[in-house]
Amino acid sequence: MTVSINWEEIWERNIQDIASRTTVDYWESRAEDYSDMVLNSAFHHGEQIRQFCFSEGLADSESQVIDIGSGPGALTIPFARNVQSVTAIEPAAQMIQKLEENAKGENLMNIYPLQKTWQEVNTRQFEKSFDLVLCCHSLWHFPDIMVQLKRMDMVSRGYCCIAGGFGTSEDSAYLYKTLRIREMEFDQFHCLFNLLNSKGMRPNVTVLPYETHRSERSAISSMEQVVQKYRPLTSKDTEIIRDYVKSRLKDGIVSSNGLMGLLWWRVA
Amino acid sequence: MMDGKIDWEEIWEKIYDDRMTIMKRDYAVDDWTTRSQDYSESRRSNNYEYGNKVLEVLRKRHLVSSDSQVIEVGSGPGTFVIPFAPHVGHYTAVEPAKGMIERIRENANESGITNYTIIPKIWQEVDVSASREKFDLLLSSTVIWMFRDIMEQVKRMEEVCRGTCCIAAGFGSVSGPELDLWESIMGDIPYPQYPEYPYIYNILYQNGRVPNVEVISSSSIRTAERLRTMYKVFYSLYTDYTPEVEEKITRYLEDHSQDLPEGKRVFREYQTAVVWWNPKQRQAGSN
Repeated sequence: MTVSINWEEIWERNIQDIASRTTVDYWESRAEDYSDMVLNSAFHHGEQIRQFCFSEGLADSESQVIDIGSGPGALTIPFARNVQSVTAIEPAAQMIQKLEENAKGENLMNIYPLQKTWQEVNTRQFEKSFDLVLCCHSLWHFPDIMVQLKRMDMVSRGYCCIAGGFGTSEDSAYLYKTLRIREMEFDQFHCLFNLLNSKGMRPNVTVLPYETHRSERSAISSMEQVVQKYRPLTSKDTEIIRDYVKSRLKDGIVSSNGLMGLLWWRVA
Repeated sequence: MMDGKIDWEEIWEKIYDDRMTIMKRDYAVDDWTTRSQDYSESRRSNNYEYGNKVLEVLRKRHLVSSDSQVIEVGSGPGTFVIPFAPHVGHYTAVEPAKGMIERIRENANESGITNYTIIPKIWQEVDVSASREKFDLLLSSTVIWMFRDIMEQVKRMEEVCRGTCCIAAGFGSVSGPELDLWESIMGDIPYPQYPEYPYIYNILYQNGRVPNVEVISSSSIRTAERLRTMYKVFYSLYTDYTPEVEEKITRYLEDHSQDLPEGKRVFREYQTAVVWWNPKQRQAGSN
């Protein structure tokens, strides 16, 4: 009489469309605005996750870490400052370029970028090679989520930690509702939480606050590109986005606060 | 917020109702008096391993301090009272069963603990309006399955709490020999569900809370005789406790006793989800 819900199927059904629209080319075009956000935010969400991992014993100064979907280094850079090495998996060349610039800016020599999608990585080559596997804001690339999580388990000899938005940010929810973009409506955290529990993985859950700061240009560009995943940008879309950004602009910066949900477990 | 099609409180109520339909009668407070010795033995295993692990989860997040005012809903034999009391200012234990209250006093006395008060009531009878925001920490362990009106009781817990609410919840899944024993006694009747987790997480989340979770493992070591009491109470709720039923339980206990440093004992390992949240915090966009 327990309730049987097929969370794997719910995930796949909801993520398929988002994953197919969020191509490597999409991330190539997002490199500039995303890196702007990461730098203006002083790597805030990555540093929050880094501090949490150190305080919980998921990582320490000796750790070898892999960051799946590293982008311009939101997590890679804060971890690389504090651990032995970070292998950064990132398919978009522009993102890798930003990552390398950001690493060079801090004279970090312990980052090893691999320009591949996670699905292209030969996990056998990295079996039990890492103390910590990180995958933050990237899980929507994996409709076959359990296959990819098992591959993450395979390369870990310590912990896996996956992260994404917790609940919805009120502001962005309002914006995307106005723009009729539905991808934010699917609660990825909640589905993954139940999916992992239904598979007996019983993850720990940690909710962390984070803040983002970005330039006006970065804020507009990021939102316009999300819309363009779904349709050509109309003048009405542009107007809505610009009005929204303007209403939130303070000293040339758009700031927002939110919560991240971390699901983490020790690999058996 | 969540998948709008799922009403988690409705699911919780359905599981509760389904369990009741196969019970001859519901648990009575006196059942817990009968069970107080075996429960105490279980919770004392490995020097209160279970309670100490929950304490550690909260201490490392700085949610317990030497001046904390703590209240616990359903203290049983002192599962948390004994590990927590030395690290807090005062501990209020809500526990209605006379036998459990005696065990709390014995266990506290043995440990030299005096900074506690017992409220000898079921939680539903406690006047929460008289204790509004009086406590820094509210604890409850494997009790919530007794509450059909789960959010009503959670809101009452939150009302007395000015700091952190923490529910230690069981996964409730049963398999292997335990299930075989049930089937040998009860035949085709499905094993009754006492699932607290992850349902409680989904209910809190759906109600806009922001809960954290750490999953802990702990062991329970009991003599076969003490465990027999547990089975006697349990199976009496579902069927006539005949000599045939007793015989099956005896055989099961013989088969599952092992030689441990303490002597011949039944050893079990459980996982528990320690769920904690700030009762004042809400997700964005939640009421």
